[in-house]
Amino acid sequence: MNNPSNATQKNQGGKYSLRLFVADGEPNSIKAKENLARICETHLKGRCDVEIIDVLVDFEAALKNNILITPTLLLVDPPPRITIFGNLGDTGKVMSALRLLYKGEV
Amino acid sequence: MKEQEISYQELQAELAEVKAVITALRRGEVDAIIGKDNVLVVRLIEVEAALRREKDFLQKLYNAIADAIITVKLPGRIIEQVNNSVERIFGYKPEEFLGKGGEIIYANREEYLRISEKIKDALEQGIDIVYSEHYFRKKNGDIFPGDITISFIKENNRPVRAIGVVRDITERKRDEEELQRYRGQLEELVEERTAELKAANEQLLHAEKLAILGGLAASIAHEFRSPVFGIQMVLQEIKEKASLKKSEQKLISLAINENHRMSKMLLNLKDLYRPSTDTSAPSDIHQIIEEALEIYRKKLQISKVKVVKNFAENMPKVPIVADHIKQVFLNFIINAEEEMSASGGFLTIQTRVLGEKVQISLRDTGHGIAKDKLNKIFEPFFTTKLSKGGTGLGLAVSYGIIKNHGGNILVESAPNAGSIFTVELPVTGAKEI
Repeated sequence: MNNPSNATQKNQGGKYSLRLFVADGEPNSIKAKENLARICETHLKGRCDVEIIDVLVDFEAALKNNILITPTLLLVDPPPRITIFGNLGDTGKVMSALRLLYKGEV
Repeated sequence: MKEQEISYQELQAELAEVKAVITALRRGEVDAIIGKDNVLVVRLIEVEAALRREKDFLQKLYNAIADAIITVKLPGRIIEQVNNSVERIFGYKPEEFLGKGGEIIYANREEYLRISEKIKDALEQGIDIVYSEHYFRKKNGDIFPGDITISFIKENNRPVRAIGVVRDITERKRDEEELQRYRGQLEELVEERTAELKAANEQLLHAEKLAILGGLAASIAHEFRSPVFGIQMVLQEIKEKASLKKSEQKLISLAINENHRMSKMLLNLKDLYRPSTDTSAPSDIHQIIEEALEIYRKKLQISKVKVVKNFAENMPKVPIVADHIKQVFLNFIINAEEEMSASGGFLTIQTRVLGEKVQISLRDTGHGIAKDKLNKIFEPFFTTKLSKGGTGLGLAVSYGIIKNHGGNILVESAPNAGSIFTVELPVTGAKEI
């Protein structure tokens, strides 16, 4: 069960819908939130809708989405669905996985 | 066919996902693992660091332990891990041990079979630790005693590894043996000292007894001398002036002789154990012996007693009353001659310098003295030569003279093995003249 109250940004144009599963307060989860916020601000400004789910609060949501570990970022929309594990510290790889990396852009 | 392709794609996707999870775990980027029923929050970085610290500590501890720790895989007993101390104890570098069979550490096949039997028994009885003492072999072939403690690691109730801790107990063994040896020596020493003390005590009692007897004898002699002298005078008068028959003359002569003998005995008794009034002077012991031999030379020749002299060089002058000491040697020579008069023999006279004393021993090849009589020969009136006219005073007088000189007389003898009389005299105060 998703927690809509954790959504931090409004989906503009519905182009990117992301769901970040974290264990709130834990170091990698904090880093993941920071890294995702930076990517959204830099590369998806106004184009992403991020939902942050704390598995310690909403365990059912994790099970429903087949989440094995935190932090895990889920690209819900546009399809296909993509899952990224870890603290999202490697911006290049994250953007590549999100299909945001264009030629000449790192 | 299409469904199989999709299934394959799904499989590929799942594999990729698992790989990605493993990568995140390896990189320490995971905070929590979501299980079926709960969430396990893991602080992997902290856990890893703690594990690393723990591992580092255990590794250092493992290698710092002075005993050799050898882990073998079961079954097969192939060595798969050792600590650094194996090099000090066995002479093998740790890597040389790996992959070898466990029996390499034992001195021989028997030792290995013995421990194998113990391990088998322990496992059968469900015992997890085996302790045993064995002989082990170093790389250079040296054998050493050691003890080994073997503990088993089990998986699913089956032993999969055995960890052996070997300690070199060479020093402990050596200490134990040394202690045992010291104990033995101590016991011997105590026994020896006890025997010495017993002998000294017996000697002291003997000396006291002789002194009392000597004093008594001297007192009696003193009181008897005048009457005996008077009797002598009267008998002499009767013999010279009275007209007697031949048979009566013979009886008087006999009485005179016996009285003379009694007088001589009393003279000897008088000096028994009394401090000499004569002054001592540094004297040549060898010369005194020669003079004593000269007095008895003819008698020795007749009895076919050969004299062998073995005199020490650098014999110092000894402070003695020469006439008294000569009397002692003469007594010994007389006794020796009488012992050997039947079929001849050898009288060996040896002198030695032993630090602050000189030792003179006279050895004969006579009949010897029975053990039960040895203790009594210095007692006054004890004689084995009663039939030959012995008075039993010769050795008693000799004993008194030597004691007066601060010396000692020792006797060794056994039936049919001859006798050795040894005189020891102190040289303290002797001056070269």
